[in-house]
Amino acid sequence: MTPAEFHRLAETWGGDVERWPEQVRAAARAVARTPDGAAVLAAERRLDLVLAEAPVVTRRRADDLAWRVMQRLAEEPAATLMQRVGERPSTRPRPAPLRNWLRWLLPAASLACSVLLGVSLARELPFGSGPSPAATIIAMTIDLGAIPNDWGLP
Amino acid sequence: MENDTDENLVAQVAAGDRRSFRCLMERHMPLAIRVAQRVTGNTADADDIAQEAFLRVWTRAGSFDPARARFTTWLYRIVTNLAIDQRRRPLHADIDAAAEVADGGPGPLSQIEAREQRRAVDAAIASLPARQRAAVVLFHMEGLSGREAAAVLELSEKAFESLLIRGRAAVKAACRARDETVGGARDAR
Repeated sequence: MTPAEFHRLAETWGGDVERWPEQVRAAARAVARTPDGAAVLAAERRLDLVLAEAPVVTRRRADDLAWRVMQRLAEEPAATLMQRVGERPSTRPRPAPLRNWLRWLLPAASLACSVLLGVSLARELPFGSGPSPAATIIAMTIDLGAIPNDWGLP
Repeated sequence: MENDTDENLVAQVAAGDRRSFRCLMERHMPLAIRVAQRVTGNTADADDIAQEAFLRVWTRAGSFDPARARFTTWLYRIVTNLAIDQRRRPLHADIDAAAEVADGGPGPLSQIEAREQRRAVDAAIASLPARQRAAVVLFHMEGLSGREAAAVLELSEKAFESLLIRGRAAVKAACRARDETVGGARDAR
């Protein structure tokens, strides 16, 4: 490895030869032992330290954000959430085919029961002719007793 | 649950287990925040991105393949992609964020100097194109290897190397310029 190559690698990967690509490490270690090589690495290490500094993230801030995520999960329906994050439905367990089938069966069965009940009531209850529709409407709007019997409504 | 690997927890999250999801957030929320903060240069954006990243973990857990990557690689990818897309304030380093970094100097003067230097570095990092910024953050701040960082950014190692060298060079130039300015001011006193 030439000094120029070593210098370029140090400028790319920094002052720690052990973090350089594996295929150049052995050759780089030999150059690093020379005074010039050591000086190059020391200079790059100063920049490494500055770049490695991470912002302080308090536990409280992290917990607060985690709590807010849980809140959003609780508030937003799954379908909306997926649409919002531009996601197709995941492979999360879906309703079994039987459950899908039941979803149609239940309303159909309810309707059938209602029809059966209606038919049986119609058969069982005594048939009688009630007041005519027109008389019913009039009775609803005016006093029933005020209608003379001889009006001859249909 | 505390002893479960991240990958096991993700599998449980894919089945809708909220406790596993909470456990993952407990472990990795700080990672998401600090990467987002360094890449965007802004604390408020970082908070939004960290939340969004975990919502994506929740909705996409079923698509995570532990045979292809570790959970943290996947999370880094989600966070950096969101942070790179976040271009609202690309050239502005957040002053509060700079002040949050611990300074090492013992006296007030050296603390001020350290803070000033931190600000200069933050400004230099903030002025980098987003992908260069992400490369510097992943390799130097997070300590990922070149190969891992390239995988996070979905780049070849060569392309990653190119991003990293340009990013480092730009920050180095900014630091040098600042040192010259400070040195000049001292000489003038």
